[in-house]
Amino acid sequence: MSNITEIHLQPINAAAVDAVNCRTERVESLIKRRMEAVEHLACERSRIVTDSWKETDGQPLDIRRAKLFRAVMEKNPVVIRDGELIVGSQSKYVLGASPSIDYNPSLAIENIENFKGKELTDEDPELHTITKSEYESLAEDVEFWKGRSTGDAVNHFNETHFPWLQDWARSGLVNAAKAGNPPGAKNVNYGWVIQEGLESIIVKAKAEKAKLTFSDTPREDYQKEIFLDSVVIALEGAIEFSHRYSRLAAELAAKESDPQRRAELEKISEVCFNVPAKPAKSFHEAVQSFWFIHLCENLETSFQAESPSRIDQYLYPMYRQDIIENSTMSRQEAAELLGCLFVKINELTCVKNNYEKNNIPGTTLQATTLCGVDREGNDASNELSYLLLEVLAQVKFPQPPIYVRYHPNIDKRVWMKALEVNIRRGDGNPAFMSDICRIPSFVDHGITLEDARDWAACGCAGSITPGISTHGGSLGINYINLAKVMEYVMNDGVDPRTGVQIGLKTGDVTEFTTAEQFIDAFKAQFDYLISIMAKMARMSAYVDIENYHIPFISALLGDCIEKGMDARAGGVRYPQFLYHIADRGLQDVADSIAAIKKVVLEDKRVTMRQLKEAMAANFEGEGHDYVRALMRSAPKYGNDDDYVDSIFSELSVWLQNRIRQERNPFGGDLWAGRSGANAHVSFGRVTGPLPNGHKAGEPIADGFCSPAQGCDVHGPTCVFNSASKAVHVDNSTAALMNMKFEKKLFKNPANIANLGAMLEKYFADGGFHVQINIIDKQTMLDAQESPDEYSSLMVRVAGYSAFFIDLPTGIQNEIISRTSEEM
Amino acid sequence: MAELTGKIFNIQHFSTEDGPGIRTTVFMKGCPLRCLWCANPESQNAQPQLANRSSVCIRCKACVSVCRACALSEDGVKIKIDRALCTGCGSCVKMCPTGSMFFYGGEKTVDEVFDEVSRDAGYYEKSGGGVSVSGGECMTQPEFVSQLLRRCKQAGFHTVLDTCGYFTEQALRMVWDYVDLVLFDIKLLDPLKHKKYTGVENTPIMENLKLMLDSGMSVVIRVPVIPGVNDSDEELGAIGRFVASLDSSLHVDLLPYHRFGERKYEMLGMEYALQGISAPDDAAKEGYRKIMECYGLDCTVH
Repeated sequence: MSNITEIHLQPINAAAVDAVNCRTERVESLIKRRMEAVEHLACERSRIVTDSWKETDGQPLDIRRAKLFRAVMEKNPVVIRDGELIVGSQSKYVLGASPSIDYNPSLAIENIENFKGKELTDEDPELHTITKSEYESLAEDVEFWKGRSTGDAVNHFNETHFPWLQDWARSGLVNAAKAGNPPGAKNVNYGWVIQEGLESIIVKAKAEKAKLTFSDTPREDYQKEIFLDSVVIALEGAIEFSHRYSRLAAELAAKESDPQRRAELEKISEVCFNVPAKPAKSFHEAVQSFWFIHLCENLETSFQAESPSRIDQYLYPMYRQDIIENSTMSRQEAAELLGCLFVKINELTCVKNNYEKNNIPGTTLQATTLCGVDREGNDASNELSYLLLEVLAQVKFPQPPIYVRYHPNIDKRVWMKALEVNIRRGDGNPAFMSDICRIPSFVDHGITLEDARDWAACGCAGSITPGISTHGGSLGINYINLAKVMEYVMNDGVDPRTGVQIGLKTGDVTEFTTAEQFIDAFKAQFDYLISIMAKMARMSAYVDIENYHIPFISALLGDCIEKGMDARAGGVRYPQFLYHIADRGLQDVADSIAAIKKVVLEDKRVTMRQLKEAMAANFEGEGHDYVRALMRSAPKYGNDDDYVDSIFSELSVWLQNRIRQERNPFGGDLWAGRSGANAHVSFGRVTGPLPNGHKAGEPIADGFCSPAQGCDVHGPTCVFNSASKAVHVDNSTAALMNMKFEKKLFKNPANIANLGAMLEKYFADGGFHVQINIIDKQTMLDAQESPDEYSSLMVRVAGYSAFFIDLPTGIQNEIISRTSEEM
Repeated sequence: MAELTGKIFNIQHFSTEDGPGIRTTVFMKGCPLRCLWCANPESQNAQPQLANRSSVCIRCKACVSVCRACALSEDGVKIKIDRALCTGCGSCVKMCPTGSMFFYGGEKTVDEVFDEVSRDAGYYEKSGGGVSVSGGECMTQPEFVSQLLRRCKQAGFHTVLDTCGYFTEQALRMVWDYVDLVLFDIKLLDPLKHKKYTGVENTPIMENLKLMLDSGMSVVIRVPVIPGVNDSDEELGAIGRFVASLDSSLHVDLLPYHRFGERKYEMLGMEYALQGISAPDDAAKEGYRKIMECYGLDCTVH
C-alpha cells in the first residue's frame, strides 16, 4: 500500500550524483568501527522479554506480545556513538543481538553451548563474544522459556502428529524437523510512517476501536479490541524508544565541547523527537524515521530479514523536496547520510541456529528494492535510485542486498548504473529482477494490479507485496530436496541413506524402458510427498500463529488495523498470499533423467543394473568411474539443448502447478520457493550418488535456473536460453539464476551494455532473476590461503552477500568450482 | 549432390570481442598462414585433428583398447597419441566416456550452423550484435561462408568477416554482398619478416585490403602485437603509417600477445615455437596505443 501521493519525478542529475563521495572522514570512521567490532551475544533483550512475560501471565496474547515489545522499547540500551548522524542501536554493542529466546530458546541454547565450561570474564566486554554475567543471564532465561516457547509448542505438536518427520529430515528430503526461527521477511509500510507518523496511526487504531459495537459480532469485536489495544501499546513503545534517543542526544549535546558535534547532537535530538512519531519534514528525518522503524521491527522478533523494500520510493518525496527542489541539502550531504545509514544496516545482526549459520551465513537478508514501475505502471526509477546505487558501490558491505527491478521502460541511465555498480562491486550486488513476469503472476493470484506493481524483493531473493502482506513465516519445513526424490525413484521409494521406505513404491527401475517412466515415477513420488507435507504445514502453522503475534509489525501492515487482527493471524490484506515450499535441485533431476535416457536407454552403453551398482559404490572403483564419466557426458541442462531442457521445463511447470494445487493455512495457493540460501550445500551433503554423476555429499545445483556446477559449457546465452524454455515464476516467489563472470569481461561500457542487453533478452523471455558475480578464481584461492588479507572480499551466494572468508569451506569450494563463463 | 558442409572447429556464443554487440562466432578450420604465435593451432589444419584433454581423463584406457592402429598408449600419467600410426578412424573418440579424446573440427551443413546461430537472435537484436565468421581463415571456405552469411543477412543479422586477408579476389566476390563489417588482420609490413613469421608473403594481403576499401566495405584493422616480432616502434609504426595512408579514419584494434593457446599445442602434439615470451603488461600496451595515435588513428587495445 503506497500512501505516497503525487510522486512527480524530477530529472536525474547523473553528473552531480556521480561526483559524490559518501566515504567522508565521518563515514570512514563508522566503517572502521563496524569492521573492527566483535560480534556479541547480547543478553539485555532476552532478560527484558523474560521479565515482561512473567509479569503479563494470564493476559491475552496480543497484549502480552505488545507489552513485551514496549518493555524492550523502554529498557533496551540506547547508545549514540561518535560521529553518528543516524542513531539507534540493536544492543549496547556495535555488533550484537540477543537470541530470540521468546520464540525459541534453542537459538540461545545452541549459541551459549559453545561457551559451556569455558573460562569467561566480565572484563573488557567489547573484546569477547559473551561475558560471564551475560552467559549466566542467558542461561537463566533459557530455563524459563524451555517448554513455554512457540518453538517448543510447534515441536511438541509435530512430534505427536508427524512422527515420520524425523525420518524425512534424516533422509535429507526436508531441511529440518524442528521449529526454527521467528517469522522472517518482514516488510512493513515504511512510507506510511514517514509520511504520516506513528501518532496518526495510533489515532487510527483508536478510531477503529471506537467503531466496535459488540452488537452483531461480539466475539470478533472482543478480539479486535484486544488487537487494537495491543497496537496502541506497541506504537507508544516505539515512540518512547525514539524519545529516549532524543533525550540522550540532548544530554550528550550539553556535555559536548566540540561545537560542530554539539550542533549535530542537537539536531539528532530534534529529529528523534519528531520521528517516527510525526511525519518526516526533511530527508534527514525521513531516513531516521526509516531506521527507527526498521530497528524496531528487528527488536520485536529479534531475528533477521527485515526488508527495507522500495526505499527509493518512500524516501524520494523528502529527497526531492530537500535536494532537488529546495537545495536545503546537497547531494554530497545526502550521500553521506546514506553512507551512515548503510553502516547502520550493517550493524544489524542476528543470532542464528547452527543450521542457519551453515546455510545462510554472514547475512541478515535486508532485501532492498530499487526501480520498477509505480502503481500506475510508469517508470519509478529516480535520482535517489541512482544515488543509492552509487553509495552501494562506494560502501562495499554485504548489506543491504539490493535488487533492481527491471522493466522495459526503466530509465536507461539508472539501468546502466545498476550494471556498472554490479561490475564495480563484483559481489552480485545489486541483483536484477523483472517486472515483466512478476506483475502478471501476482495479479493471477488475486492481487490487484496496483498492489502487484508495488512488489519488492524479500528475504532470500523472494518477492512479496510490501506493506500489505507478510511472508508465510515458519512452516516448519521450507525446502524440499528434489534430488532426494530422484533417489527414491531409483530405489522404489526407499531412501538409500537410511533404508527407510519414505516415498511411494513406483517400481523397479531396472524394468523401466522409457524416460517417460522415470518422469512419471518422479511426479508420483512428489505428488505423494507434497500432499503430506502441505497438510502438515497447514496444521503446524496454526500452532505457530496461535502462540506468537507481532503487534508492532502488524500495526504497520495494511490492513491489520481495519481488520483488527494480527498480521500472522490473517490481518494483512492478502493473508492467503505467499506461503511457499522451496523445491530445490531440479537441475540434477533433469540431468539425471536425461543421462539415463541417453546412456542407458538409447545408446545402451551401460545397463540400469550397472548404473545402480556404480551408484551404490558412489561411482568409485574400477569400472564405476567409467559409468560416471558416461553419465556425465550426457546432455546437461544449461547448454540450450532441448534433449534435456525439455525434461527440465516440463518438470518445472508441472511442479509449480502441482504445488499450487495445495492450499496454504489461509486457503490460498501454496507457492513454490525457488530461491535463496545454500540449501544446495546442505541438501547436497545428504544426497547420495545420482544418475547425472553427482557423488554423495557434493552440493546439488545452486539456485533454481543455474546449471549444475561446471555443466554449462556453451556460455551464458545458452544458459539463459535453457532457462527461458519454461516460465518459472507463475507460482513461485523466485527462480534464482546465479552466474559468475571474470571482471575483465566487462572492462568497458560497451561490454557492460552487452551484459545489459543479455539480461533484457532473458527478462523479455520470461526470466525473473539474475545475479552476476564478478570474481576471479585466483583471488578466491588466495583468500582461502590467507583469509586475513582478504577480509573484505565479498561473494554473493544465492541471493545475498557475505564476506568470502566467513563462508564455510564447502561453500567457498563450491563457488570456486562454479563455471566461469568465458567470452 | 551432397549438401555443402563447412569445416568448423568451434561455434562460440556470447562473443563480444569480434565485432559490435553480443555475437556468435563461427570458427572455420583451415588456414593458409602459420603464424608462430597462433592462439588457435587447432584452426590451421583443415582436417579434423585428434586431441586429448588430459585434465578430464579418468585413465580408463577404453581408447587404448579400442584402437586398431595401436596408436594410443598410456604412460601412467596420460594418454599418448602416436600420430604416425593414427588413421583418424575416431573409434577412441566414440568410446571415450569423458570426452577427453576428441576431434578438433567437424563438418556441419549451412542449415545446422544457421540453426545454432539463430538461437541467439534475440540477443543480437537487443545488443546490436550478430554473427561473425572467423578461423582459421574463413575465406578458405568461401562458398560455405557465402551461403551462411546470406542466410544471416536474410534473417536481419549483422555480419562480420574476420580474416587474415590471404584469399583470392574470386573468393571475395562470393561473400562481399553479405558482409557488414570486415575485421582485417595486418601482422607485418616487411615482406621478408612476414614470410618468416607467418609462412606467406603479404603482397596479396595488402592488395586485398585495398580492394575491400575501394569497394566501399567497412573495415576495422586488427593487429596482433607480438613481442620481438612487431611490437617495436619501427614495425608497429610502419603499420600505423600504412593504415593512415590508406584512410586515416580507419579504426585499429590492437590485440596484444597472450598465451591462452599454449595448452592446445600440447593437446595436439604440436611444438609451440614462441616458448618463453611473456604477455605484455599494461604499460607496454599503453605504449602500443601511443604509437598508433601518433598517426591520428582511432585505436582500441584489447
